[in-house]
Amino acid sequence: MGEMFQPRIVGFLCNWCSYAGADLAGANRLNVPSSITPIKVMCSSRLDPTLVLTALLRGADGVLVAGCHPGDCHYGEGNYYARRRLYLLKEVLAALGLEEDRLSLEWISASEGKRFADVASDFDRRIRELGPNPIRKRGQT
Amino acid sequence: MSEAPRGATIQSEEGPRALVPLLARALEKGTSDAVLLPLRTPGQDSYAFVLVKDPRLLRQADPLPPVQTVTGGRALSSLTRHGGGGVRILAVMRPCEARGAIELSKLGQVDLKDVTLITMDCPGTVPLQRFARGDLRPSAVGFADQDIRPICQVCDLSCAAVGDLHLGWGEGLAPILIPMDERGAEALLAMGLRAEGDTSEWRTTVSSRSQERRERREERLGQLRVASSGLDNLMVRLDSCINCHNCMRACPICYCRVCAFDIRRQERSANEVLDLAKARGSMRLPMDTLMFHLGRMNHMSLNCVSCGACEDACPAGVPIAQLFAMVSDRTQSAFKYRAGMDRQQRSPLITFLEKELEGEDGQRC
Repeated sequence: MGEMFQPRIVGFLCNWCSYAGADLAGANRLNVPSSITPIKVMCSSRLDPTLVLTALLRGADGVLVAGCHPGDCHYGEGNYYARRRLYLLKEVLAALGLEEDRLSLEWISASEGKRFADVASDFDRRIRELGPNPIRKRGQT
Repeated sequence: MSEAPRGATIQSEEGPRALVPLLARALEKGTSDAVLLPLRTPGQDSYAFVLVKDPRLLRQADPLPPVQTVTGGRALSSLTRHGGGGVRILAVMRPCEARGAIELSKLGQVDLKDVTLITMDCPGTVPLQRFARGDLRPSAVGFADQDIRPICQVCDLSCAAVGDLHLGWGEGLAPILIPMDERGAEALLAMGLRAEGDTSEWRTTVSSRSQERRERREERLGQLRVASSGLDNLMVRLDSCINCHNCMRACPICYCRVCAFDIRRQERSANEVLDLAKARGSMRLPMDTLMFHLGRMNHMSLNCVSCGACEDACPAGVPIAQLFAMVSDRTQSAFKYRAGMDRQQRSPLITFLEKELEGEDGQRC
Protein backbone atom coordinates (compact mmCIF):
# COMPACT_ATOMS: atom_id res chain seq x y z
CA MET A 1 0.00 0.00 0.00
CA GLY A 2 1.58 3.21 1.10
CA GLU A 3 0.08 5.33 -1.62
CA MET A 4 -2.90 7.54 -0.85
CA PHE A 5 -6.34 6.19 -1.63
CA GLN A 6 -7.66 7.81 -4.80
CA PRO A 7 -11.37 7.15 -5.06
CA ARG A 8 -13.04 6.43 -8.37
CA ILE A 9 -16.50 7.90 -8.51
CA VAL A 10 -18.94 7.51 -11.37
CA GLY A 11 -21.19 10.53 -11.85
CA PHE A 12 -24.36 10.00 -13.82
CA LEU A 13 -25.43 13.52 -14.73
CA CYS A 14 -28.66 14.62 -16.35
CA ASN A 15 -28.09 16.29 -19.70
CA TRP A 16 -30.55 19.11 -19.00
CA CYS A 17 -29.34 20.25 -15.62
CA SER A 18 -26.52 18.64 -13.66
CA TYR A 19 -24.28 18.11 -16.67
CA ALA A 20 -24.62 21.77 -17.57
CA GLY A 21 -24.10 22.58 -13.87
CA ALA A 22 -20.85 20.64 -13.95
CA ASP A 23 -19.88 22.51 -17.08
CA LEU A 24 -20.58 25.80 -15.37
CA ALA A 25 -18.44 24.78 -12.40
CA GLY A 26 -15.59 24.21 -14.84
CA ALA A 27 -16.20 27.48 -16.69
CA ASN A 28 -16.11 29.31 -13.37
CA ARG A 29 -12.85 27.55 -12.49
CA LEU A 30 -14.32 26.07 -9.35
CA ASN A 31 -12.52 23.22 -7.69
CA VAL A 32 -14.13 19.90 -8.59
CA PRO A 33 -12.49 16.68 -7.37
CA SER A 34 -10.86 14.79 -10.19
CA SER A 35 -12.12 11.51 -8.77
CA ILE A 36 -15.47 11.98 -10.51
CA THR A 37 -15.93 10.54 -13.97
CA PRO A 38 -19.01 12.20 -15.44
CA ILE A 39 -21.33 10.25 -17.68
CA LYS A 40 -24.07 12.16 -19.40
CA VAL A 41 -27.54 10.63 -19.36
CA MET A 42 -30.60 12.20 -20.93
CA CYS A 43 -32.56 12.01 -17.68
CA SER A 44 -31.89 10.67 -14.18
CA SER A 45 -34.73 8.24 -14.83
CA ARG A 46 -32.94 6.98 -17.94
CA LEU A 47 -30.50 5.43 -15.55
CA ASP A 48 -31.35 1.77 -15.06
CA PRO A 49 -30.38 1.00 -11.44
CA THR A 50 -28.67 -2.08 -12.88
CA LEU A 51 -26.06 0.28 -14.31
CA VAL A 52 -25.43 1.71 -10.86
CA LEU A 53 -25.07 -1.82 -9.53
CA THR A 54 -22.71 -2.70 -12.33
CA ALA A 55 -20.51 0.27 -11.52
CA LEU A 56 -20.42 -0.60 -7.82
CA LEU A 57 -19.78 -4.29 -8.39
CA ARG A 58 -17.07 -3.58 -10.92
CA GLY A 59 -15.19 -1.60 -8.34
CA ALA A 60 -16.38 2.01 -8.39
CA ASP A 61 -15.93 3.50 -4.93
CA GLY A 62 -19.00 5.67 -5.28
CA VAL A 63 -21.82 6.51 -7.65
CA LEU A 64 -23.27 10.00 -7.74
CA VAL A 65 -26.52 10.46 -9.62
CA ALA A 66 -27.62 14.03 -10.22
CA GLY A 67 -30.83 15.23 -11.80
CA CYS A 68 -33.12 18.21 -11.99
CA HIS A 69 -34.82 19.56 -8.89
CA PRO A 70 -38.30 18.12 -8.24
CA GLY A 71 -40.76 19.92 -10.50
CA ASP A 72 -38.04 20.95 -12.94
CA CYS A 73 -37.60 17.72 -14.89
CA HIS A 74 -37.19 18.38 -18.59
CA TYR A 75 -39.57 15.49 -19.23
CA GLY A 76 -42.01 16.44 -16.50
CA GLU A 77 -41.61 13.75 -13.89
CA GLY A 78 -38.59 11.60 -14.68
CA ASN A 79 -36.69 12.60 -11.56
CA TYR A 80 -39.56 11.45 -9.32
CA TYR A 81 -39.31 7.95 -10.77
CA ALA A 82 -35.53 8.05 -10.47
CA ARG A 83 -35.87 8.98 -6.81
CA ARG A 84 -38.03 5.91 -6.14
CA ARG A 85 -35.79 3.57 -8.13
CA LEU A 86 -32.59 4.64 -6.42
CA TYR A 87 -34.28 4.63 -3.04
CA LEU A 88 -35.25 1.03 -3.75
CA LEU A 89 -31.69 0.14 -4.72
CA LYS A 90 -30.41 1.71 -1.51
CA GLU A 91 -32.91 -0.29 0.52
CA VAL A 92 -31.83 -3.52 -1.21
CA LEU A 93 -28.17 -2.76 -0.46
CA ALA A 94 -28.97 -1.77 3.12
CA ALA A 95 -31.01 -4.94 3.70
CA LEU A 96 -27.95 -6.98 2.79
CA GLY A 97 -25.51 -4.93 4.81
CA LEU A 98 -23.76 -3.61 1.72
CA GLU A 99 -22.59 -0.04 1.87
CA GLU A 100 -25.54 1.96 0.56
CA ASP A 101 -23.68 5.20 1.34
CA ARG A 102 -21.61 4.64 -1.77
CA LEU A 103 -24.67 5.73 -3.72
CA SER A 104 -26.02 9.24 -3.65
CA LEU A 105 -28.76 11.10 -5.50
CA GLU A 106 -28.65 14.89 -5.67
CA TRP A 107 -30.60 17.63 -7.40
CA ILE A 108 -28.43 20.15 -9.25
CA SER A 109 -29.78 22.65 -11.78
CA ALA A 110 -27.94 24.02 -14.81
CA SER A 111 -27.24 27.31 -13.05
CA GLU A 112 -25.84 25.74 -9.90
CA GLY A 113 -22.19 25.40 -10.82
CA LYS A 114 -21.19 26.21 -7.27
CA ARG A 115 -23.60 23.63 -5.91
CA PHE A 116 -22.17 20.98 -8.23
CA ALA A 117 -18.66 21.72 -6.98
CA ASP A 118 -19.87 21.53 -3.36
CA VAL A 119 -21.85 18.33 -3.82
CA ALA A 120 -18.98 16.67 -5.68
CA SER A 121 -16.39 17.68 -3.07
CA ASP A 122 -18.65 16.60 -0.25
CA PHE A 123 -19.33 13.21 -1.84
CA ASP A 124 -15.63 12.77 -2.59
CA ARG A 125 -14.85 13.45 1.06
CA ARG A 126 -17.47 10.97 2.26
CA ILE A 127 -16.11 8.28 -0.07
CA ARG A 128 -12.57 8.93 1.16
CA GLU A 129 -13.83 8.38 4.70
CA LEU A 130 -15.49 5.12 3.65
CA GLY A 131 -12.29 3.94 2.00
CA PRO A 132 -11.92 1.73 -1.07
CA ASN A 133 -14.82 -0.41 -2.23
CA PRO A 134 -14.14 -3.81 -0.62
CA ILE A 135 -15.21 -5.54 -3.80
CA ARG A 136 -12.00 -4.34 -5.41
CA LYS A 137 -10.14 -6.91 -3.35
CA ARG A 138 -12.53 -9.75 -4.03
CA GLY A 139 -12.25 -12.08 -6.99
CA GLN A 140 -15.20 -14.19 -5.95
CA THR A 141 -18.37 -12.31 -6.58
CA MET B 1 -66.93 -5.16 2.81
CA SER B 2 -66.72 -3.14 5.96
CA GLU B 3 -68.73 -5.35 8.32
CA ALA B 4 -67.42 -8.78 9.25
CA PRO B 5 -67.90 -11.15 6.32
CA ARG B 6 -70.21 -14.10 6.73
CA GLY B 7 -69.54 -17.51 5.27
CA ALA B 8 -71.13 -20.80 4.28
CA THR B 9 -70.21 -23.70 6.50
CA ILE B 10 -69.72 -26.96 4.65
CA GLN B 11 -70.53 -30.29 6.25
CA SER B 12 -67.40 -32.20 5.38
CA GLU B 13 -64.47 -33.93 7.00
CA GLU B 14 -62.25 -33.46 4.00
CA GLY B 15 -60.84 -29.98 4.51
CA PRO B 16 -59.95 -28.35 1.21
CA ARG B 17 -61.25 -31.32 -0.79
CA ALA B 18 -64.71 -30.23 0.26
CA LEU B 19 -64.34 -27.65 -2.50
CA VAL B 20 -64.32 -30.24 -5.29
CA PRO B 21 -68.04 -31.17 -5.49
CA LEU B 22 -68.91 -27.49 -5.16
CA LEU B 23 -66.70 -26.59 -8.11
CA ALA B 24 -68.30 -29.38 -10.10
CA ARG B 25 -71.72 -27.97 -9.28
CA ALA B 26 -70.73 -24.49 -10.44
CA LEU B 27 -69.36 -25.97 -13.65
CA GLU B 28 -72.50 -28.02 -14.31
CA LYS B 29 -74.67 -25.01 -13.69
CA GLY B 30 -72.83 -23.15 -16.44
CA THR B 31 -72.04 -20.01 -14.47
CA SER B 32 -68.35 -20.72 -15.07
CA ASP B 33 -66.72 -22.09 -18.20
CA ALA B 34 -63.77 -23.85 -16.60
CA VAL B 35 -61.92 -24.50 -13.37
CA LEU B 36 -58.17 -24.05 -13.02
CA LEU B 37 -56.78 -26.09 -10.15
CA PRO B 38 -54.10 -28.62 -9.22
CA LEU B 39 -54.75 -32.19 -10.29
CA ARG B 40 -52.83 -35.34 -9.56
CA THR B 41 -50.81 -36.19 -12.64
CA PRO B 42 -51.76 -39.47 -14.40
CA GLY B 43 -48.74 -41.22 -12.91
CA GLN B 44 -50.15 -40.23 -9.50
CA ASP B 45 -46.79 -39.01 -8.28
CA SER B 46 -47.02 -35.30 -8.83
CA TYR B 47 -49.39 -32.40 -9.25
CA ALA B 48 -50.03 -29.90 -12.01
CA PHE B 49 -52.40 -27.03 -12.65
CA VAL B 50 -55.01 -28.17 -15.16
CA LEU B 51 -57.81 -26.22 -16.81
CA VAL B 52 -60.81 -28.48 -16.33
CA LYS B 53 -63.91 -28.24 -18.46
CA ASP B 54 -65.44 -31.65 -17.72
CA PRO B 55 -66.79 -31.82 -14.14
CA ARG B 56 -66.08 -35.57 -13.98
CA LEU B 57 -62.35 -34.93 -14.23
CA LEU B 58 -62.50 -32.96 -11.02
CA ARG B 59 -62.39 -36.25 -9.16
CA GLN B 60 -58.59 -36.25 -9.50
CA ALA B 61 -58.41 -32.72 -8.20
CA ASP B 62 -56.41 -31.90 -5.12
CA PRO B 63 -56.95 -28.24 -4.31
CA LEU B 64 -54.08 -28.18 -1.83
CA PRO B 65 -51.22 -30.48 -2.88
CA PRO B 66 -48.39 -31.18 -0.43
CA VAL B 67 -45.84 -29.67 -2.85
CA GLN B 68 -45.75 -26.57 -4.95
CA THR B 69 -44.94 -27.48 -8.53
CA VAL B 70 -45.71 -24.74 -11.04
CA THR B 71 -47.24 -21.81 -9.18
CA GLY B 72 -50.86 -20.85 -9.82
CA GLY B 73 -49.95 -17.34 -10.91
CA ARG B 74 -47.69 -18.73 -13.59
CA ALA B 75 -50.41 -21.13 -14.76
CA LEU B 76 -52.97 -18.35 -14.91
CA SER B 77 -50.52 -16.12 -16.74
CA SER B 78 -49.93 -18.72 -19.45
CA LEU B 79 -53.68 -18.77 -19.97
CA THR B 80 -54.60 -15.09 -19.81
CA ARG B 81 -51.43 -13.17 -20.67
CA HIS B 82 -52.98 -11.97 -23.93
CA GLY B 83 -56.38 -11.43 -22.37
CA GLY B 84 -58.87 -13.84 -20.86
CA GLY B 85 -61.08 -13.80 -23.97
CA GLY B 86 -64.21 -13.69 -21.86
CA VAL B 87 -63.72 -17.23 -20.56
CA ARG B 88 -65.11 -17.35 -17.02
CA ILE B 89 -62.66 -19.23 -14.86
CA LEU B 90 -62.71 -20.37 -11.28
CA ALA B 91 -59.03 -20.42 -10.29
CA VAL B 92 -58.19 -22.35 -7.15
CA MET B 93 -54.81 -21.74 -5.52
CA ARG B 94 -52.91 -20.98 -2.32
CA PRO B 95 -52.84 -17.42 -0.99
CA CYS B 96 -49.21 -16.87 -2.07
CA GLU B 97 -50.00 -18.09 -5.58
CA ALA B 98 -53.06 -15.87 -5.77
CA ARG B 99 -50.97 -12.93 -4.61
CA GLY B 100 -48.54 -13.77 -7.40
CA ALA B 101 -51.45 -13.72 -9.85
CA ILE B 102 -52.56 -10.33 -8.51
CA GLU B 103 -49.04 -8.92 -8.86
CA LEU B 104 -48.87 -10.32 -12.39
CA SER B 105 -52.17 -8.67 -13.24
CA LYS B 106 -50.68 -5.34 -12.16
CA LEU B 107 -47.75 -6.06 -14.45
CA GLY B 108 -50.10 -6.81 -17.36
CA GLN B 109 -49.28 -10.53 -17.38
CA VAL B 110 -52.59 -11.86 -16.05
CA ASP B 111 -56.10 -10.81 -16.95
CA LEU B 112 -58.30 -11.15 -13.88
CA LYS B 113 -61.37 -9.67 -15.55
CA ASP B 114 -63.29 -12.93 -15.77
CA VAL B 115 -61.39 -14.88 -13.15
CA THR B 116 -62.79 -15.74 -9.76
CA LEU B 117 -59.85 -16.42 -7.47
CA ILE B 118 -60.52 -19.03 -4.82
CA THR B 119 -57.96 -19.23 -2.03
CA MET B 120 -57.76 -21.29 1.15
CA ASP B 121 -55.91 -21.57 4.42
CA CYS B 122 -52.57 -23.12 3.56
CA PRO B 123 -50.54 -25.29 5.93
CA GLY B 124 -47.45 -24.98 3.71
CA THR B 125 -45.72 -27.40 1.39
CA VAL B 126 -42.78 -29.77 1.71
CA PRO B 127 -39.54 -29.08 -0.21
CA LEU B 128 -39.98 -30.08 -3.84
CA GLN B 129 -36.62 -31.86 -4.02
CA ARG B 130 -37.34 -34.07 -1.04
CA PHE B 131 -40.74 -34.89 -2.47
CA ALA B 132 -39.31 -35.70 -5.87
CA ARG B 133 -36.57 -37.90 -4.36
CA GLY B 134 -39.27 -39.82 -2.58
CA ASP B 135 -37.96 -39.52 0.97
CA LEU B 136 -40.88 -37.30 1.93
CA ARG B 137 -44.16 -38.21 0.27
CA PRO B 138 -47.10 -36.97 2.24
CA SER B 139 -50.46 -37.21 0.51
CA ALA B 140 -51.52 -34.15 2.44
CA VAL B 141 -49.89 -31.62 4.75
CA GLY B 142 -51.40 -30.74 8.11
CA PHE B 143 -51.14 -27.48 9.99
CA ALA B 144 -48.81 -28.92 12.59
CA ASP B 145 -46.43 -30.40 10.04
CA GLN B 146 -42.75 -29.89 10.85
CA ASP B 147 -41.52 -30.89 7.40
CA ILE B 148 -42.73 -27.83 5.54
CA ARG B 149 -40.27 -25.60 3.71
CA PRO B 150 -38.38 -22.98 5.71
CA ILE B 151 -40.08 -20.22 3.75
CA CYS B 152 -43.52 -21.67 4.62
CA GLN B 153 -42.54 -21.83 8.26
CA VAL B 154 -42.16 -18.06 8.30
CA CYS B 155 -45.20 -17.30 6.13
CA ASP B 156 -47.48 -14.87 7.94
CA LEU B 157 -49.93 -14.70 5.05
CA SER B 158 -50.68 -18.41 4.78
CA CYS B 159 -54.34 -17.75 5.56
CA ALA B 160 -54.66 -14.39 3.81
CA ALA B 161 -58.06 -14.16 2.19
CA VAL B 162 -56.87 -12.49 -0.99
CA GLY B 163 -59.19 -14.42 -3.30
CA ASP B 164 -62.71 -13.45 -4.23
CA LEU B 165 -63.76 -16.51 -2.30
CA HIS B 166 -61.77 -17.98 0.58
CA LEU B 167 -62.01 -21.38 2.23
CA GLY B 168 -61.21 -21.33 5.92
CA TRP B 169 -60.54 -24.73 7.41
CA GLY B 170 -57.39 -24.49 9.48
CA GLU B 171 -56.72 -26.40 12.65
CA GLY B 172 -59.84 -28.42 13.23
CA LEU B 173 -62.37 -25.89 12.01
CA ALA B 174 -65.27 -27.06 9.88
CA PRO B 175 -64.65 -25.78 6.33
CA ILE B 176 -66.25 -22.41 5.78
CA LEU B 177 -66.48 -20.65 2.41
CA ILE B 178 -66.27 -16.89 2.75
CA PRO B 179 -67.04 -14.50 -0.11
CA MET B 180 -64.71 -11.51 0.07
CA ASP B 181 -66.39 -9.47 -2.66
CA GLU B 182 -69.27 -9.37 -5.12
CA ARG B 183 -67.68 -11.87 -7.47
CA GLY B 184 -67.05 -14.33 -4.68
CA ALA B 185 -70.68 -14.01 -3.58
CA GLU B 186 -71.84 -14.88 -7.09
CA ALA B 187 -69.59 -17.93 -7.18
CA LEU B 188 -70.91 -19.04 -3.82
CA LEU B 189 -74.46 -18.72 -5.08
CA ALA B 190 -73.58 -20.81 -8.14
CA MET B 191 -72.34 -23.50 -5.78
CA GLY B 192 -75.77 -23.52 -4.19
CA LEU B 193 -74.61 -22.08 -0.88
CA ARG B 194 -75.54 -19.09 1.19
CA ALA B 195 -73.18 -17.03 3.32
CA GLU B 196 -75.09 -17.14 6.56
CA GLY B 197 -72.56 -18.59 8.97
CA ASP B 198 -70.53 -16.69 11.49
CA THR B 199 -66.83 -16.36 10.64
CA SER B 200 -65.55 -15.07 13.96
CA GLU B 201 -64.06 -18.41 15.02
CA TRP B 202 -62.07 -18.61 11.79
CA ARG B 203 -60.96 -14.99 12.08
CA THR B 204 -59.66 -15.44 15.62
CA THR B 205 -57.80 -18.61 14.68
CA VAL B 206 -56.23 -16.93 11.67
CA SER B 207 -55.21 -13.77 13.45
CA SER B 208 -53.46 -15.59 16.29
CA ARG B 209 -51.81 -17.92 13.79
CA SER B 210 -50.63 -15.01 11.65
CA GLN B 211 -49.34 -13.15 14.68
CA GLU B 212 -47.33 -16.20 15.72
CA ARG B 213 -45.92 -16.51 12.22
CA ARG B 214 -45.08 -12.83 12.03
CA GLU B 215 -43.02 -13.12 15.18
CA ARG B 216 -41.26 -16.20 13.88
CA ARG B 217 -40.65 -14.48 10.56
CA GLU B 218 -39.02 -11.52 12.23
CA GLU B 219 -36.91 -13.74 14.42
CA ARG B 220 -35.69 -16.13 11.71
CA LEU B 221 -35.17 -13.54 9.01
CA GLY B 222 -33.45 -11.38 11.59
CA GLN B 223 -31.03 -14.21 12.28
CA LEU B 224 -30.47 -14.61 8.57
CA ARG B 225 -29.80 -10.90 8.25
CA VAL B 226 -27.13 -11.04 10.89
CA ALA B 227 -25.61 -14.15 9.34
CA SER B 228 -25.53 -12.79 5.81
CA SER B 229 -24.83 -9.11 6.33
CA GLY B 230 -21.96 -7.60 4.41
CA LEU B 231 -20.13 -8.67 1.29
CA ASP B 232 -18.21 -11.56 2.83
CA ASN B 233 -21.13 -13.13 4.64
CA LEU B 234 -23.48 -12.64 1.73
CA MET B 235 -21.07 -14.41 -0.59
CA VAL B 236 -20.98 -17.34 1.82
CA ARG B 237 -24.76 -17.69 1.30
CA LEU B 238 -24.46 -17.41 -2.47
CA ASP B 239 -21.27 -19.43 -2.82
CA SER B 240 -22.92 -22.60 -4.04
CA CYS B 241 -24.85 -20.83 -6.81
CA ILE B 242 -24.21 -22.63 -10.11
CA ASN B 243 -25.50 -19.81 -12.34
CA CYS B 244 -28.31 -21.93 -13.76
CA HIS B 245 -30.82 -19.09 -13.25
CA ASN B 246 -33.48 -21.63 -12.29
CA CYS B 247 -34.65 -19.32 -9.51
CA MET B 248 -35.46 -16.72 -12.11
CA ARG B 249 -37.22 -19.15 -14.43
CA ALA B 250 -39.37 -20.68 -11.72
CA CYS B 251 -40.26 -17.27 -10.28
CA PRO B 252 -43.87 -16.38 -11.06
CA ILE B 253 -43.04 -12.67 -11.02
CA CYS B 254 -40.04 -12.75 -13.38
CA TYR B 255 -41.95 -12.58 -16.61
CA CYS B 256 -39.49 -10.83 -18.97
CA ARG B 257 -38.96 -12.87 -22.10
CA VAL B 258 -35.37 -11.75 -22.26
CA CYS B 259 -33.66 -11.17 -18.93
CA ALA B 260 -30.99 -8.50 -18.62
CA PHE B 261 -28.82 -11.05 -16.86
CA ASP B 262 -29.03 -13.58 -19.67
CA ILE B 263 -27.73 -11.17 -22.27
CA ARG B 264 -24.21 -11.94 -23.32
CA ARG B 265 -23.32 -8.36 -24.08
CA GLN B 266 -22.00 -7.97 -20.56
CA GLU B 267 -19.35 -10.58 -21.08
CA ARG B 268 -15.81 -9.27 -21.16
CA SER B 269 -12.89 -10.12 -23.35
CA ALA B 270 -10.25 -12.48 -22.00
CA ASN B 271 -7.81 -9.60 -21.58
CA GLU B 272 -10.26 -7.53 -19.58
CA VAL B 273 -11.00 -10.44 -17.27
CA LEU B 274 -7.29 -11.09 -16.91
CA ASP B 275 -6.79 -7.47 -15.90
CA LEU B 276 -9.54 -7.78 -13.32
CA ALA B 277 -8.04 -10.99 -12.00
CA LYS B 278 -4.68 -9.23 -11.75
CA ALA B 279 -6.13 -6.34 -9.81
CA ARG B 280 -8.14 -8.54 -7.46
CA GLY B 281 -5.87 -11.54 -7.20
CA SER B 282 -8.45 -13.90 -8.70
CA MET B 283 -11.70 -13.90 -10.61
CA ARG B 284 -14.59 -16.30 -10.27
CA LEU B 285 -15.95 -17.42 -13.64
CA PRO B 286 -18.48 -16.98 -15.03
CA MET B 287 -18.52 -13.52 -13.50
CA ASP B 288 -21.38 -11.67 -11.87
CA THR B 289 -23.02 -14.17 -9.53
CA LEU B 290 -23.65 -11.39 -7.04
CA MET B 291 -24.74 -9.07 -9.83
CA PHE B 292 -27.42 -11.54 -10.88
CA HIS B 293 -28.91 -11.91 -7.44
CA LEU B 294 -28.69 -8.24 -6.51
CA GLY B 295 -30.13 -7.27 -9.87
CA ARG B 296 -33.04 -9.62 -9.41
CA MET B 297 -33.69 -8.36 -5.91
CA ASN B 298 -33.71 -4.87 -7.29
CA HIS B 299 -36.02 -5.82 -10.13
CA MET B 300 -38.65 -7.77 -8.29
CA SER B 301 -38.29 -7.69 -4.52
CA LEU B 302 -41.17 -5.18 -4.47
CA ASN B 303 -43.40 -7.76 -6.12
CA CYS B 304 -42.05 -10.84 -4.33
CA VAL B 305 -44.81 -12.85 -2.64
CA SER B 306 -42.46 -15.29 -0.85
CA CYS B 307 -43.95 -18.30 -2.62
CA GLY B 308 -40.58 -20.04 -2.44
CA ALA B 309 -40.60 -21.33 -6.02
CA CYS B 310 -37.02 -20.06 -6.41
CA GLU B 311 -35.73 -22.04 -3.44
CA ASP B 312 -37.57 -25.17 -4.59
CA ALA B 313 -35.95 -24.77 -8.00
CA CYS B 314 -32.42 -24.26 -6.70
CA PRO B 315 -30.36 -27.41 -7.22
CA ALA B 316 -27.55 -26.09 -5.05
CA GLY B 317 -29.41 -25.35 -1.84
CA VAL B 318 -29.05 -21.56 -1.78
CA PRO B 319 -31.63 -20.19 0.71
CA ILE B 320 -32.69 -17.77 -1.97
CA ALA B 321 -36.37 -17.46 -1.03
CA GLN B 322 -35.39 -16.56 2.52
CA LEU B 323 -32.89 -13.98 1.31
CA PHE B 324 -35.56 -12.55 -0.93
CA ALA B 325 -38.06 -12.50 1.93
CA MET B 326 -35.52 -10.68 4.07
CA VAL B 327 -34.90 -8.04 1.40
CA SER B 328 -38.48 -7.70 0.20
CA ASP B 329 -39.86 -7.27 3.72
CA ARG B 330 -37.67 -4.23 3.97
CA THR B 331 -38.21 -2.79 0.49
CA GLN B 332 -41.96 -3.37 0.49
CA SER B 333 -42.44 -1.74 3.86
CA ALA B 334 -40.28 1.18 2.69
CA PHE B 335 -42.94 1.85 0.07
CA LYS B 336 -45.83 0.80 2.37
CA TYR B 337 -46.62 -1.98 -0.03
CA ARG B 338 -47.29 -5.66 0.50
CA ALA B 339 -47.21 -7.60 -2.74
CA GLY B 340 -50.53 -9.06 -3.83
CA MET B 341 -52.54 -7.80 -0.86
CA ASP B 342 -54.33 -4.82 -2.37
CA ARG B 343 -55.54 -5.04 -5.95
CA GLN B 344 -56.15 -1.29 -6.15
CA GLN B 345 -52.75 -0.13 -4.90
CA ARG B 346 -50.39 0.60 -7.76
CA SER B 347 -46.99 -0.99 -8.01
CA PRO B 348 -44.53 1.39 -6.27
CA LEU B 349 -42.22 2.01 -9.21
CA ILE B 350 -44.88 3.22 -11.63
CA THR B 351 -46.15 5.94 -9.36
CA PHE B 352 -44.77 8.65 -7.07
CA LEU B 353 -45.68 11.40 -4.68
CA GLU B 354 -44.33 14.85 -5.20
CA LYS B 355 -43.02 15.08 -1.66
CA GLU B 356 -41.59 11.86 -0.32
CA LEU B 357 -38.45 9.95 0.65
CA GLU B 358 -36.63 13.13 1.64
CA GLY B 359 -34.99 12.72 5.02
CA GLU B 360 -34.81 15.53 7.57
CA ASP B 361 -31.10 15.84 7.05
CA GLY B 362 -31.69 16.79 3.43
CA GLN B 363 -30.42 13.45 2.16
CA ARG B 364 -32.19 12.86 -1.14
CA CYS B 365 -32.50 9.15 -1.17
